[in-house]
Amino acid sequence: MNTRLFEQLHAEGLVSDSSFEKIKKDSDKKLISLHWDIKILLYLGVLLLSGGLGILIYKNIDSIGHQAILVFIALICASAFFYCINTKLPFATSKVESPNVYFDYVLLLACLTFMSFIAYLQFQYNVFGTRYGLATLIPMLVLFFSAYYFDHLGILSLAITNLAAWIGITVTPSQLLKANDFNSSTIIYTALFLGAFLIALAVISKMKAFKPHFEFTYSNFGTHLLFISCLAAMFHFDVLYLLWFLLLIALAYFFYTRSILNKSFYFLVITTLYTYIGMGYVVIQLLDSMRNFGMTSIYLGLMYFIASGIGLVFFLISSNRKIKAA
Amino acid sequence: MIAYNKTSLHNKEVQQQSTSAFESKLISADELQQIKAKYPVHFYTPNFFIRIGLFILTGIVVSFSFSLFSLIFMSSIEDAMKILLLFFSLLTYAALEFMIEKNNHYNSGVDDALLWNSAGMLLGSLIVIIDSGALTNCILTFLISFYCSLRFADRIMGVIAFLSLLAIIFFLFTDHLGISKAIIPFVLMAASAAVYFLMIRLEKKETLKNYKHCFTLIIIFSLLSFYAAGNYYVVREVNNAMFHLTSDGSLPFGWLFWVLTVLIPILYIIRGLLKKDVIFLRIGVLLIAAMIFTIRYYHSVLPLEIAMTIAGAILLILSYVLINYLRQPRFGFVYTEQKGDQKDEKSLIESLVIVETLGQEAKSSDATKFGGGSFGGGGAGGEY
Repeated sequence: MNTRLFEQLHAEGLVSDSSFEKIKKDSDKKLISLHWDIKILLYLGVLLLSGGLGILIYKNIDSIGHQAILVFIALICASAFFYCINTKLPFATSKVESPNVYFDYVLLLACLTFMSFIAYLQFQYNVFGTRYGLATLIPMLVLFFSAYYFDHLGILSLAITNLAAWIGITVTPSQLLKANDFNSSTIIYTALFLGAFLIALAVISKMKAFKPHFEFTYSNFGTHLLFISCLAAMFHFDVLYLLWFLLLIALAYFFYTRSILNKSFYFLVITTLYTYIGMGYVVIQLLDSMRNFGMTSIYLGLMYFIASGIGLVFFLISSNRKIKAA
Repeated sequence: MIAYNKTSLHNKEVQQQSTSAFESKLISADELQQIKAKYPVHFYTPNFFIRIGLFILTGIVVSFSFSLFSLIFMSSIEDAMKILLLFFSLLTYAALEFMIEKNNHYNSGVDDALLWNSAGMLLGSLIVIIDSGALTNCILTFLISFYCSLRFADRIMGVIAFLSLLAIIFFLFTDHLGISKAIIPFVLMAASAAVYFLMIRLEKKETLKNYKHCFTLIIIFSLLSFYAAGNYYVVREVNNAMFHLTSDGSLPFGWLFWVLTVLIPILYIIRGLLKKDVIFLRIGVLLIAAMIFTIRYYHSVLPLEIAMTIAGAILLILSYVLINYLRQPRFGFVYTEQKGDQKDEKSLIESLVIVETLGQEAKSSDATKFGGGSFGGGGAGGEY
């Protein structure tokens, strides 16, 4: 903290004597918090250890044997869950802080080992036979339950990705576009449905005040899914793209009012950008349909992008003001 | 020299300091209100996400405008690209100055995008027009980025200026001066050190306080480049790729670089602890990882999985010990979170990191091992 600055403010009478004393005392002791540094180390440790052990087991599977490994995984999982159940603070519908630093990591370990346990059972012993859905359904239910019961945002995100995997799509942030084949109408409908479902969950969490801080996670996955699948539908269903564009506009309106209401700059920006892509596609399609204009339509297209870009810049600026004022 | 309104820059500093003092409960809300009223900021600086959105949109507008221009002129003038690029870069620059002067944009995304587009196009056109060698290109880069960091106090421009300076020195010594190539690492280390000491002196100057964040970032990069210039892996690979000093690819005076590789991170950490300098401490920890990778690259002591397991265990124990040790403030360090840390936002980011690093595993185990999934393989089949 810049004490010279506060000296000046003090001289101008903007800072009272007692406050200035506090500031001087504070700048003398100068404590440095290593909270997040140590947390990153802890997290890296968990990643390295679990990764290393995983490879170790995989490489030595002949000498260890499947049953031994299964028992080992089950033991870790059970003791981790046991620890969590014993140390957790009582359940509440609002946010519950974790009782200590390690709790979150132990819970993560418990859930991850549970998932590996089920996967291992299915892979090696085919326990669920051909009812593949069951083998993903069980971990998913456990994840959702743990997320709510122990109040853990990371587990909730894992649960959502598992839910998506269960119905057949991939939703981790960096893989959403890459790993899904949005050229298939089944995937598009599934993603639309899942997105709408997640948004509904977000709205309900907030309205019923049942774990309201989960809202962002649900909204985040839901919004991206809805927009991407809607855009994919526009590109995929050639003839009907204007119909899908109407849906996009409706979505944009819905998310715009919601972001203003929730004062969320993040959702405002992603809504704007997704809508911009959709509008651009429609304009290109329209210009493309009047091919006989030749170069004129290309010029028109370029001018459209310039004008609409500038328009959206002003739109974002004014919306920013609106959110700040609200 | 600086393009932004100086009074507003000063007032912004006052407001930031007072806000953090308020968050630490050192001054009252009343006092904060009064300070803010007395020191108003007239900048337009939107929320961080809006800034990203404005950055993207401005970039789109600039590139489409450029396409429109080139489409119009391409048909009439042959080989007009270079001149057009130069002209357009100046046009963008004019727009940038206008937005800052008239609309008070400050880190709004619009000015960032205009700055980067203008500088990029200027550099591109000059490189094509002048068309001579790496050294010239580095000098051009340095001049442009140095000007931009002076005029707009942009910290990344500052870092680019620093890096291009190092590149100038590198190419000077390799291509133009008849000095032994073996001393280049030491020259670069000396240059990094010189820049570091210059920066910490400039950082203290009250008259240059608007560039403070530039200096800080350059300091970080000078510490990194100081290490990189002496790192065994970097020196050896650059030697082999560019100079072929020895026939078998080994490095003359290799032991010296091994000493530097191991010693510098440790010295950084020690200094960080003694001087309570978080920058040194964090870079030191990061470089310990770089050191370990360097050693592992040449001397595979342990198989990867065992090394990972051991490293993970050490990290876990280390953080456990540190957390318990730093529950009470010791030597100016403490574990507990400081007030004003946006805790909610950080835990949201943390949750996304968890899916990103661990969710992958969950998904692939479902997808590969259980076949097409319950979805009849309608779309899942081909992808997995």
